[in-house]
Amino acid sequence: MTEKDYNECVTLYADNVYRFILKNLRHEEDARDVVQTAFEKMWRNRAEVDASRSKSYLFTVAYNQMIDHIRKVKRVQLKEEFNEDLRTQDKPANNLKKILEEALSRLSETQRSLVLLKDYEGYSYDEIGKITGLSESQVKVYLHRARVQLKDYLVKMENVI
Amino acid sequence: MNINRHNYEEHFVLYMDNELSHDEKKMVDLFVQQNPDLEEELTMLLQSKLIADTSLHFDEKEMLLRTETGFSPSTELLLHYTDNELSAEEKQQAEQLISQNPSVKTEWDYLQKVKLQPEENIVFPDKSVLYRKEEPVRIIYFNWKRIAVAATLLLAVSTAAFIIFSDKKETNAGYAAEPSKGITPSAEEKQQPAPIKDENQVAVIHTKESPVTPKEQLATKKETRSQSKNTQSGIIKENTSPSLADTQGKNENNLPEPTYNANMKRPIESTENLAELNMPEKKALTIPEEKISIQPVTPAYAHSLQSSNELIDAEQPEKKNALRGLLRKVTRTFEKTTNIKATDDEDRLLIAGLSIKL
Repeated sequence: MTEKDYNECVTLYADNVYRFILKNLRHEEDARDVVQTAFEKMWRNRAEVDASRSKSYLFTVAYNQMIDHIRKVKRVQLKEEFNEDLRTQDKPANNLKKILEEALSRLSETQRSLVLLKDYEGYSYDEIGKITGLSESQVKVYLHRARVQLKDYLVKMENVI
Repeated sequence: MNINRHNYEEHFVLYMDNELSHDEKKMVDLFVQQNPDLEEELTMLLQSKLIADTSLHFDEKEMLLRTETGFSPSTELLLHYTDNELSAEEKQQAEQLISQNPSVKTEWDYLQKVKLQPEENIVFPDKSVLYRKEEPVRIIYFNWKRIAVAATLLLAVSTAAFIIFSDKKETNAGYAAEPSKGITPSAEEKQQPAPIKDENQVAVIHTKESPVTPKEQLATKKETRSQSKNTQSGIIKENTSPSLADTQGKNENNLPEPTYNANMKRPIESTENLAELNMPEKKALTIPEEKISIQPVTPAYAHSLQSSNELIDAEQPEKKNALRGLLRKVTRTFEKTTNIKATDDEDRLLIAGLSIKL
């Protein structure tokens, strides 16, 4: 990819990648760092990146970077995150958006990523598999389980309200 | 077991339940023929047997089925539809299922609710940090013409250098062979007897050295021999060897002490007689003039015309000028042909500093 391709990629996809990472990490600074690192890697490897596949490449790099970040943070703040989950469980959200945010936060990062890649970016199972390093059938099963989990949570919360 | 009027009921029930063997069934039929009053009882019993209502159907059998992913086929279909992974035909099938089945419709509605929508308001805060610009890399492409010119230039320079340096060697050899032009007085003196002028000088030296005793001269002679073995050139000897005359003059006469002059310090030649022993002193008097004349510094060139080194000194600038002229000519040709300036601001030819990207 050329310098022009790269800069076009920034214009077209920086927001998408940022959105995807931010929704996963729920931390603006960290999301920005991950996006910057992903673009930095793409710039360094631009000679090997096919311009037509630049978006997938970007999401792949960003996803891996995010997983690394999550693992690093989890090692440090495992207890704190667990408490946070308990606290949120005690406070049921009262509108659909909040319920969805809450339901999404209860998914594993892999499931959450699959839902986001599908709903936000509209990637196919095959493309999602390539980005996340899963097989197509794994993507399908994990994604469908995630959706049913989200649905069950919504049904449960509506019944509570 | 035989059938009779006391146990026929049990046999009739077993007959109705189809639990009797073929022979037992025949036995029951024969018993009913022999006892017609019991035929009605058997008929009533058989009529009480229930028959399955085949008109009844389970409408939601699909919901009970399971696929390998653990979901029912209908849910799987709805999930695929949500993920937009269905063909047009499958979509139609799904829509039909949704419209026909209320429970499927409810599930579909929930799935649509939990489908995420991209939040366009979330944007990367400062894209300028992501934009990059490549550093320009200047690449000079060589064509065959330029390579040919470069090769010619290289050949010309190397040939010129070879010719010049081989000429220089020859000149040096000739110069060394010709005694009249020699700069090494010691060699000259060894081959030729001292001229009359030199003899006078020796006489003067003798008068100077008169206080030297024969014993001292002998000791000095030995010392000089050892020094002469270690020295190769007459000039070096002049610069480094101590002079007998100076040494003795300082110590044993009343003359004013001469000022220090390195050129005045002359070794005593390793000769056998006294006259030859004093020869270096003669050289000590003549050497300063010679040394001035043979200095290779250009300003001294004009003065050196009077000396015996005139020819040698005159040849060197000519060669230098010829080489410079050749280099200038080649440089000009190179610059004209390639449009590359090969010299810097001070008109110096730049030979190194060329980088080639492979």
